[in-house]
Amino acid sequence: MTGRRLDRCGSSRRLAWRLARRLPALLLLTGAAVLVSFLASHALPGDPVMLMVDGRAADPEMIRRLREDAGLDQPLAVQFLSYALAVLRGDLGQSLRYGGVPVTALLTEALPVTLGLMAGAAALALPLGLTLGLAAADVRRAWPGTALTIGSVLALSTPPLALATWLMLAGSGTPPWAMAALALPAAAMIARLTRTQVMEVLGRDFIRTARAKGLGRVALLLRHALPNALVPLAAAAGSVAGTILTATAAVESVFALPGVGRLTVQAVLARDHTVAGAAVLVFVLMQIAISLTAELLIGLADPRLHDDGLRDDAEAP
Amino acid sequence: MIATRSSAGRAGLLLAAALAVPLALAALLLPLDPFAMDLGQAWAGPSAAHPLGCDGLGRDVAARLIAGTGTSAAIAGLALTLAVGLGVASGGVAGWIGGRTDAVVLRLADLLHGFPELSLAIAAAALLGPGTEAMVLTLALAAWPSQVRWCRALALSNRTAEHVRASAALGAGPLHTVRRHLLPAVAGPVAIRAALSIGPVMVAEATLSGLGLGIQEPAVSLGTLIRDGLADLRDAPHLIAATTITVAAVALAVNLLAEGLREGLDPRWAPFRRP
Repeated sequence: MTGRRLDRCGSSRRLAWRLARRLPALLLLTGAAVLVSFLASHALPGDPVMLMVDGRAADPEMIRRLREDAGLDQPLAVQFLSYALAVLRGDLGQSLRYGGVPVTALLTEALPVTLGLMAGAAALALPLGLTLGLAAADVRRAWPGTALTIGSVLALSTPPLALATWLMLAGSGTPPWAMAALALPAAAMIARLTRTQVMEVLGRDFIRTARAKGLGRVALLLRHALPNALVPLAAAAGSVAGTILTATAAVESVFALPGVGRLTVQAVLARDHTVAGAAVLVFVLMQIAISLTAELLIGLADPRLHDDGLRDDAEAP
Repeated sequence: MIATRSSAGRAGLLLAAALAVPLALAALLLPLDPFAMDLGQAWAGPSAAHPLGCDGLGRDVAARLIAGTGTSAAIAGLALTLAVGLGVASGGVAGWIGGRTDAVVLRLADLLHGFPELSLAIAAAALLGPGTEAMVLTLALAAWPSQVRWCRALALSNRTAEHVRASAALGAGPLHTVRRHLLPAVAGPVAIRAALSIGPVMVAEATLSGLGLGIQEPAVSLGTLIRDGLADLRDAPHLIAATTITVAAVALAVNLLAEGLREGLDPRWAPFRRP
């Protein structure tokens, strides 16, 4: 009993350490994202003030004052510094299109929609992808693997915009269909990765040992093969997340869901540069959040974390 | 032929032929102009003169799909040429030299990998204005990190290979070793990896241009065609149907051909290959 508790304690500390080690790289990435988002919203060919006065004949004095208010007469480096400080305070500026509305207000309104969509898609994609990947890793029969290859290539060859349109026309414009449009390519990616990893793990010695002990096929797959196969999947979580985020914008646009993706696309088209710039940062942060969550969940399943604990138990008299 | 060694490659060839033959025939028999407007034919359904119908401005959909596929393929090719060229140069140097150069290049690749395509597209569209340049830059930047990692890993594993060390022991200079021993060893795997990227890059172009963040009117690409089709969804659903099915089929053919190439060339797949 004590051994168990010690093991839990040690493994959670090790997991925290593993995540903490990624912190410097993530801080650097966030800094780079702030810089890019600043460039996207400030260093532009167009002039935001001219956009604010919207082509109306404004007198030069007023334009000068608006420029000064927005800090646009300062050198770029100074502007960046004040932008970065404002971002740290949670201030992303004001939308140019919806005069004076803070960007954070627009984002807090849109974020729940996107997060709900992605959570629904993940709830569909994870079980589907893992089950299909495991089923297709069966080396005794060839057809599940072939079927998965065909299905996943098909799902990944269909641009999310096309898939979303088909599902909307075939089904309906309700959120579950939007989630399905997002979940299908994600499930295809997860299934492919799972299959490759599980097939590799199934070839290792400890699997042969487990089989020799007389362990059943299902227990072998779920208890031994899957946890070990999941570990390399954590590294792939970031690129899966990136693809899914881009797909989210497409799905939201087709299903007219007022999420971050649609807000961003509309902002870019309307030259609402502050919102577009903020979106660059928001999507990077969302990708970080998704890959950290994946790493945490997969980390909890990683057998190597609990290694010492098991050995303690085994050695206990 | 290499691609016919696997079932994926054969399926890809068949699909590519099934797409190319009717389109080539249509292009030869009906000299169609993707930009010629005929408002009398607006939203017309399929007919003998316009095999896939017309869009809202009476432009022939088949001709636009042919032109759009060409544009998208050219953009994907350009973006991948950039990504692979830079990837081989930076990744190869990083893996070959190692040390601090390696660490810096890897860190840079990781950093760029942290940006989703959408972020890159928004930034490029904001900085350069939405259009072809922004699109090519976005796709190249998005594809670069994985190319760098791949080339670096290849260079790293080849650096310590026996024939490379033998070459150095025989007194060959580093340039000679790279040219004679590293590049030929790396070329095949790099080509396979690049081929596998064509399909995803074309899908990304279709998505981003379809959202309005990439190629802009009057240029046509698969993405702008999806955008047109979505705008006319209520008036002419056959437009979006023809467009999306074509885009998916083109990407599928490219992906299957690349998969066939991989299975035919990659030694790790050899045990699975049919005799």
